[in-house]
Amino acid sequence: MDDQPAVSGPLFHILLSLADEPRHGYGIIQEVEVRTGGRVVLGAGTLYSAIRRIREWGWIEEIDAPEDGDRRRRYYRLTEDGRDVVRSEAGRLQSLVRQARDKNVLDTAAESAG
Amino acid sequence: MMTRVVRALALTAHRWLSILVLPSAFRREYGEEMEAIVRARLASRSGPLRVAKAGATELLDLVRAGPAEWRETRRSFKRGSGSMTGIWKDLGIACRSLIKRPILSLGVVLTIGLGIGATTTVFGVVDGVVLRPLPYANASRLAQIGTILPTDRTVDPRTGLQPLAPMTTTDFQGFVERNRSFEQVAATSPGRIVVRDGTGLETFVPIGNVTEGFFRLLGVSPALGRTFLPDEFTFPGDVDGLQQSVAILTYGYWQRRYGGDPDILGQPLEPAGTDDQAARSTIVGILPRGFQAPEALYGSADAPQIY
Repeated sequence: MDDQPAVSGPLFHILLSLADEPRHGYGIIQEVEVRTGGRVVLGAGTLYSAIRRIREWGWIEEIDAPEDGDRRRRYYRLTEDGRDVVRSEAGRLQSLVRQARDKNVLDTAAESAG
Repeated sequence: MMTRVVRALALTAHRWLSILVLPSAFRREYGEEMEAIVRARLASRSGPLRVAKAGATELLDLVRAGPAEWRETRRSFKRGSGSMTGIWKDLGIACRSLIKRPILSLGVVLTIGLGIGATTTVFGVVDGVVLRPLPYANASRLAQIGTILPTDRTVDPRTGLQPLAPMTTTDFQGFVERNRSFEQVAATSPGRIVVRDGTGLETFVPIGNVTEGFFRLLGVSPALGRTFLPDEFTFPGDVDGLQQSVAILTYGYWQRRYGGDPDILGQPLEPAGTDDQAARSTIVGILPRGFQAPEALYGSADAPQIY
């Protein structure tokens, strides 16, 4: 994990969208779009380029479609390594936010929004 | 209607752009999924403008993702995990390693050579001793009878068994009288006689002393003449004695010594005679071409030319 590449915004959003349940590609795009209020919209190229990389790194894995899922689509699930990455990246962001708060650059409105 | 046209155009443009900007391996792996996403996204938009905007966004996204995938493909190729996969990659690594380490390579070659040599030798022995049938009729029903001496500790390297010692004439006679297990029993022993060759020089010729049923037991019919008759054999003091006065020649000896003369039948082996009594035996038959003396019975002695 020490030589783990930096987690970019799209990567982090993809990993986060798989944190609660396995999803197919379009499911990831929709979840990210809804969660970010439409501020992050992943294109198909960006999504699958990212999926190709994080599958190679072992952060996600492909699984069979769930019982109630769409059997024509390919589903992905977060691995334990992937969960560690999300946790570590979230911790790093939390630390940054704390430092920003200590510097009084965050007002209450921004804090509650972000 | 217009929306549908824009949707179809956007999808077609995306498909063609994919071919242009994405490596084929990536397209094979994810192309279908990507198209399904673009199709779903375009379907979720209403109005030609919104559809066109969504289509343009996907096309731009494709243009951004393409170079990264090509860089990755080139990296994979350099690492040897791209198109050069599987056995070719392994062969390439093996060849380079062998060239870099000549001493190790020599060791590997010698080891493989020894392995192949040893396997071939063992197979040759097993084939000759176990697998290949003897060149006689009913080969599977033939057995060699002999004596195992309790004091003999040697082992035949070809069979891994204790070698059979020859039987004495008395033992053989006793065996024949009490035999209930074998349909026929015959005996042979190596010997040699002195004859003159074509130039008049006296030479030794290896012979096989055999009991009368020997050739019948092996299923051998003569090429000319006949084999031995029952009344032409009596047990002498020793089988080695060659007391019988008839002889059968191998095809090769008949050709070499007598030029394949068919009139030799009924003639003595050596008309002029030598001091060797056996050389005056009458020739009664010629064995067929290709007949092989049973190797196991003559040990290190030369294969008999005359019986």
